Amino acid sequence: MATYAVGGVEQIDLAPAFFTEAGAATAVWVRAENVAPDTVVYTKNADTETDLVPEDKDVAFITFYTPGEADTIVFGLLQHHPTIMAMLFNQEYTAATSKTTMLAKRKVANLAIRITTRSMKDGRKQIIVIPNVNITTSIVNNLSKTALQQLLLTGKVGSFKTTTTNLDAISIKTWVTDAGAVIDSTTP
Amino acid sequence: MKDAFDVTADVISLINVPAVKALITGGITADDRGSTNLVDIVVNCFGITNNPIQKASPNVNIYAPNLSSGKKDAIKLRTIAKALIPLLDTQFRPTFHTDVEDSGSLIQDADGNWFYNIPINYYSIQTNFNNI
Repeated sequence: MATYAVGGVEQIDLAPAFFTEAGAATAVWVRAENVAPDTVVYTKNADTETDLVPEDKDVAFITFYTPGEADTIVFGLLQHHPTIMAMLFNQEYTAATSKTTMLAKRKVANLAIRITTRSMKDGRKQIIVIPNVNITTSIVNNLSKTALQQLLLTGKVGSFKTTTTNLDAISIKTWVTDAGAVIDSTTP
Repeated sequence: MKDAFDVTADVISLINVPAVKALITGGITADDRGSTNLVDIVVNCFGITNNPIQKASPNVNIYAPNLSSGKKDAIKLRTIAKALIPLLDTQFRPTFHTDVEDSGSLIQDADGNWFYNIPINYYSIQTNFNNI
């Protein structure tokens, strides 16, 4: 059985969110270029357990299990691409004059995120699709001549339904070759 | 991605103007001085970072032979420095921008002549930076 290592980011793509596993086949992805280095962070919030131990006993009588908060995905962009901006903000963009009017109404963008990692080991990389993410935005850097303003996307990972079992799921991770071809892992 | 050679070429493009060339008797060159007995300007750069916004610290050196009295030609060095600094400070071009790190210092060369060193900052934004 092959083992894998995940690291590095080759590219990140965004698309409108979809809520079934089959939606990945028809999603129209737009590449989010100029991702800020070391900003891509997926956080799996830990679950917690609380034990109730009777006064005269040494072991738990009952254990309460509390699921953690929803997972989060964060990454920064160093480029203001009109198509990406339109996905993230309520705005009016006039291409003829390159004018963007940012509307006062705030937006929680419901998007799908696809992260393609680097081939860190054995020429195999991972494509991570997170179909349903609620993304809010913030600005990180000052308007400085020595740094680029960073648009920070903070996403709360939601769920979608699997095709065959109709279960709730959060992401799809597929190992592919460096060239993007499917890997058959049925034979060791 | 810009390299050190691009940096020196870009900086030279800022100062290679008639107003400066009229003040020197030699040339404006990259890395090495074209002569040892003329008034020259040399731009050097030893490296540049590989980040979304690349940073380098090139130097602009003004060389002028000493006067016949053996003293430095301070007037010549000062005149050229005053002409160069506005051309180097807060310059924004399509692929790079520069500013003057400090307004320079006089340094005596190994041969006894003096030169005026102006360290500058150079920045360039890499389009679609993928090293993440």
